[in-house]
Amino acid sequence: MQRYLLKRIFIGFLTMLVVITIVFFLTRVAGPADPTAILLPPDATPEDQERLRAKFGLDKPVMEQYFLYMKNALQGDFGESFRFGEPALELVLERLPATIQLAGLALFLGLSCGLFIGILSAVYRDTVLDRIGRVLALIGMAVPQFALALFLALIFGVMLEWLPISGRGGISHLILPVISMSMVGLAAYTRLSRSSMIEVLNSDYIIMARIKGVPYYRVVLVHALKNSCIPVITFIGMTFPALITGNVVIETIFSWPGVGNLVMTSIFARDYPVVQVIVLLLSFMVISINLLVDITYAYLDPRIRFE
Amino acid sequence: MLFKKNNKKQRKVNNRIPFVGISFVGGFLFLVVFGNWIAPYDYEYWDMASMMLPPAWLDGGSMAHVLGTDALGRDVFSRLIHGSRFSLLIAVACIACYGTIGVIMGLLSGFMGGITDMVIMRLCDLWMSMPAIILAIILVSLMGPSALTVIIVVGIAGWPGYARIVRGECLSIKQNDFIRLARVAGCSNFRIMFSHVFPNIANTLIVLVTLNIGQMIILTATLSFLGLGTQPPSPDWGLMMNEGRQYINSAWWLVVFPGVAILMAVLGFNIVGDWLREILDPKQKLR
Amino acid sequence: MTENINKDLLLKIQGLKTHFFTKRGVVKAVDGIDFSIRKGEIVGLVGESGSGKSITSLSIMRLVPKPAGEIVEGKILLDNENLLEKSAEEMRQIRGNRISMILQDPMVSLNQILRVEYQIGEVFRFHKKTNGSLREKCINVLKNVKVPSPELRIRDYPFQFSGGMCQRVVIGMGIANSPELLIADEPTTALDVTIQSQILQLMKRVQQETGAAILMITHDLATVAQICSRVMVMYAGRIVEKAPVHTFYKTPAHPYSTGLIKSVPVLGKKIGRLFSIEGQPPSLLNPPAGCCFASRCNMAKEICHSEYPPEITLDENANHRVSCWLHA
Repeated sequence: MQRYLLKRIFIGFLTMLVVITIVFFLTRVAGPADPTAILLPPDATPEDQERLRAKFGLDKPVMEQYFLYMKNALQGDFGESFRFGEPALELVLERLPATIQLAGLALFLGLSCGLFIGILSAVYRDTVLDRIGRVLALIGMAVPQFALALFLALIFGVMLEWLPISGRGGISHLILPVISMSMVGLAAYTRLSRSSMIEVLNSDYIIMARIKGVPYYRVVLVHALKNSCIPVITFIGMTFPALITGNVVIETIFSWPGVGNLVMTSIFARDYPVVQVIVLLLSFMVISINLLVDITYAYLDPRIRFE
Repeated sequence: MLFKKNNKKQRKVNNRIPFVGISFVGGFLFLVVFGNWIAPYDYEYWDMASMMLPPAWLDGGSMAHVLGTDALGRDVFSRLIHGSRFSLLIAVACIACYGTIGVIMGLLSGFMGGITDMVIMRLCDLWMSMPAIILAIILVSLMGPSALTVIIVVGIAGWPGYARIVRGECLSIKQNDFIRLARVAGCSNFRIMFSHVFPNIANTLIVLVTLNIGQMIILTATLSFLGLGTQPPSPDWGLMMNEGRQYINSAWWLVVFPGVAILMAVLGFNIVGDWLREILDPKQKLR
Repeated sequence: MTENINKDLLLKIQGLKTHFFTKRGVVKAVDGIDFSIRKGEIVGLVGESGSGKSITSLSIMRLVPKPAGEIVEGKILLDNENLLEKSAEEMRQIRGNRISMILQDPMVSLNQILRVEYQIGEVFRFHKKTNGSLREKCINVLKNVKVPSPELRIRDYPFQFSGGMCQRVVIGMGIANSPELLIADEPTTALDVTIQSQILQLMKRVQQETGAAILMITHDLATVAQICSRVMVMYAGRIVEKAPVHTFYKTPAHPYSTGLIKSVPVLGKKIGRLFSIEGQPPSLLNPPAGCCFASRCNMAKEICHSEYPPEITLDENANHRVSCWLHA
């Protein structure tokens, strides 16, 4: 198990190196325009431009830039933002708590409600409750996040004027973004946990537990829940990139001052150092979530642990 | 096993033909094909004299513009109808793009085995652990946002999912006697792959594609909504919502109708996809 | 009906019907069966797959898969108390305590991701019989069924056990609370032949020690011959013949029973091609009007196709009974 984890961490590290390289070359080489063109006033002289390029190290050959960047990156220096002149890493880290608050709450809400509804739906299968749950899940899967966010903003923000639709503040600012962000996950987790639970409830060890005289709620909570959680846990890792996309969309719509918002503005402003840091941060998150999923998986399923 | 009877019963229940789903998909496809004749206006036709008209049933609305008009006086109803074609074409193009890559990679991986298999699968792992969506956003912004870049980006990003499923199918088909027979008959690897293995995964692919169309409509609409996809004045539903967003305080119809259109189209494809999976994939290999 | 008030009587089933309500129609999995089991006896219930054996046992446990399956008629009397009138909680108290059951495949009847200790402990935890520590009791259970080094194995997971060992664990759980009735649903089918006889010996020993009655469900006549004292033959949801084991092998009365016995290969006897019963069992969805076996029976008369035969007593003790027009 430990060897396995070490191997995973090593592969994760390699993946990040690959990501950093790809992003570097995509932004520096494939990029159509010189970022300094945007930063300078229209009446700037070519000398001004040269000075600015020198300042950001853009006058050196690409390979040299790359090695310099990698060397600095390993020391935690990711360059300065073209736009703000502040260290890119700090700029991103400043925004991180807001994003984690939003994404974390959305993930938690989606997962817990999804599991709850899915399990209820499976246990009370083919009843009215199950039908309602399934129809809601089906609709939840079909609404794009941005559409749901706009609908909710329209109803609760514009028409009813109950909740604010932009910015970060108290709990009231959280409600709409969190709900609209969690809905897709909620629907997916409901569907998955329902089908997984039904499969588990049909297995012989569930009958066996009932034969032993274990109360039904204990059978569901101990035997069935643990077994049916395994595919759901795997699914979290698989859908994490989708959560990131959702985060970008929701932060943009609700003007949430987080990383997703920052990446959109930075892309349009060609603020590459910031984009690079964010992409790196996100791939770090994806890798660590997958690692976490694997550890949880091994904890839930001893068959993995003893391999 | 104790529950065979019960399962059989469950399967029967789920095999009902989903009229809602089929009618949504049917309506959608009808608009795609006959939209040009149905839509009262061209999607680029604008008329400043009748801008921001509400839907016909509200005060100030007119029957000339059933679902109202936008800030440039363009007819929302017509744009929605034309938009169906954009949505479907882009979604299908995306799937065709990464489906082809995925199927080829999966066939190679599953059929060749050995080093080819290992390399392709490692590549899949790497691909999937990168936040492909963020890379897609960067790529789009670098190549300039357009429908074509969306297709390329999504196409490049999405293949590992298909490759894995096709590989799994391929491995199980390889065990069959008719593959050995084909080999005995002297068929080349290439021939076996495409005339013996491929037809056998066709069912799986049909289900996968149907289930994916919905997802692709959402994804491409999302990219358009973020300003990374199709550009004005195209009547893409996501783009329409992006444009309508700024008027959310005064003109709700600019946001609601495109949203409902996406919802119905995706819902239809999802329902039909689930149904096809029930019929064509009895072993429930695809979840 | 004087024989009903028999002190030895443990379980009596009267006119039990368990049906499955499906979209295609009503599947009559168990369609009116009567039988009784005396205290401490081993009774075999024989029949091919799909004849309703498993559903009979699940009906006794009141664990028929819902919502499709339902016990529509009949009585299940355990010590003259009707189990069908018990509340869910009363029934739960009875399960694993007074009645217990062993399932066919030990590898899937244990939860692979929970420790064996926990799963055995559940038998005790939910029945108020607490004296001594839970762990000790669990170790005793494993000792009882001769699992080597039980103190260590108790910490293991089921996937670390072999099939035979798993079935031992399951049997151990089944008898842990000294039940009055143990239902064994094909307990040896999923096991290797050598392990099969070990498990049967174990069950026989256990039965002698605890005095539990065993309802042995099987499709294997050899198993029946080995450990049962009486046998019942089930076909298409009904019991067609009941007999003491010796009588059954010597003079089977129902044509289906005759066929079953003939289709067992006998060691050292040359019979050429092995006998097999022609045709398929009828669909339980739309069972034929008369005797279900009539279409496969080469002695079928006209009445066989139109009317279901009554139960006919063949000996003076009323131990051998058959439902067949040939004996009417």
